[in-house]
Amino acid sequence: MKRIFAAMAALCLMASGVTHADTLSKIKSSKKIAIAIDLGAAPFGSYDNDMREVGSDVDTAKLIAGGLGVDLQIVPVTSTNRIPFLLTGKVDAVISQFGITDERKKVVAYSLPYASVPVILAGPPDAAIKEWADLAGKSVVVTRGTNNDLDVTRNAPAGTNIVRYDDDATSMTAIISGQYDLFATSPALINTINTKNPALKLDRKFVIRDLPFGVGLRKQDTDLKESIDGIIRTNLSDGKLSAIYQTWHKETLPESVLAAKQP
Amino acid sequence: MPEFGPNQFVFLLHGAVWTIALSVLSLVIGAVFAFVVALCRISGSRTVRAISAIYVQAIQGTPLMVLMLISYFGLNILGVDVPALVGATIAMTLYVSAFLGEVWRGSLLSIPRTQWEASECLGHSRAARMRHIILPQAVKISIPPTVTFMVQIVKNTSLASIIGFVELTQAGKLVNNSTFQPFVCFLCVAALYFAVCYPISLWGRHLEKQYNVVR
Repeated sequence: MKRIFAAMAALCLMASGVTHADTLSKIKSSKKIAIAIDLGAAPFGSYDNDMREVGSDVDTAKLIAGGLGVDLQIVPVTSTNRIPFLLTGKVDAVISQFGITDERKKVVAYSLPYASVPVILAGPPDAAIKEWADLAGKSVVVTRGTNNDLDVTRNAPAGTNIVRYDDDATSMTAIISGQYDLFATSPALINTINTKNPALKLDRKFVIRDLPFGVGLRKQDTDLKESIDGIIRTNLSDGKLSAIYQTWHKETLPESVLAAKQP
Repeated sequence: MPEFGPNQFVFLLHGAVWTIALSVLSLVIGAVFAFVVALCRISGSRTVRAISAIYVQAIQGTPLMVLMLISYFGLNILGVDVPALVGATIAMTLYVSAFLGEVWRGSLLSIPRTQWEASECLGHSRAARMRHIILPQAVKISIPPTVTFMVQIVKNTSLASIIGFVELTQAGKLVNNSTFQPFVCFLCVAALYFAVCYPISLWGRHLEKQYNVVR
């Protein structure tokens, strides 16, 4: 699957000249920006009781669309297909807990980080796991195509059984239903799991890394990147992005993100 | 956190509507092409037979999911921007044409050689032979496998979720992810699939009786 998507992404790259030359003016003239969000990953993106889209990424997308003065069109994606959606011009931007990494920078451009979360390895309270070496012989759940997948694949010792699911929703279901109990993901998702199944009481075993999130953009859309960077700076300064983070992640926005505030 | 309730069920129903829409579109358009494929596969011309055989092999040898990715993202690379429904319909149509084409070819060939020859002796043209002698018999034979295939197609539409098409399975995943009640959520999804597929099976049985397939 991953290989299929990699091949698709490579094809997309070859043809990236095909996509709209000037995305920013297209957005302005159509008064609409299409943003890809994973709606299967509460609290970043999910549905509320009335099946309306909610979450920190949804609120951030609304801020960006508001800042550009256009309407927001949410396109639901998953962590595996968000890059093809962006590169083939199906969406104008990706706000989908999209971690900034060097590998991805080869194919997509990022705005300034608008949030940052640690990636943790979580497990049941009685599991004696403090570092990578303790994972040998255990099963760890990751969501395919995420940084967490890369990190675990790279660092887990031989004999670790890495269980990959196609999206966060399925990974979470596997944990909540008790099929597996170790999960490499963000603390926010672990909180969601614990509220849904309080018996699990999953806690943080160790921090894998801090992962800054940026708005994913096509490389040639430099004008759009400039506008979005400006909007992020403004909203970091007036505290709106901090408020979103506080609301959904119950923590204060890390200093590393706030550093980009408007001077 | 939301609980599974009427809103969630309505969301699933919307997904089911799209599942039905995609199934109907791909079956109707696919059937037309499948008929052409079946005729090509038994054509008198060796070239036509060879080309259609390659087509069938190529499509049957490609996973439906890859067909979806190609028709959705691939067409975009060629500069054609297709919505998810169109992308999925193209992929499913290709898939239906190859598989149903082979099913129907088998049905046509299962008509005893003597029937074809008898028709020829009566001086029927190729078209007349097909229309009056072969097809009426082949249709009967093809009913059970065709109905089975239709039910499969309904279930295969779930693969369209890969290109962001919110059909029943994807709707179920999205609801489950906000409510985290997999049991009730996926039970509803299964029930809705059943509600779509069972009438097809019943209809198939009805047709079998009507055309007296089991002799």
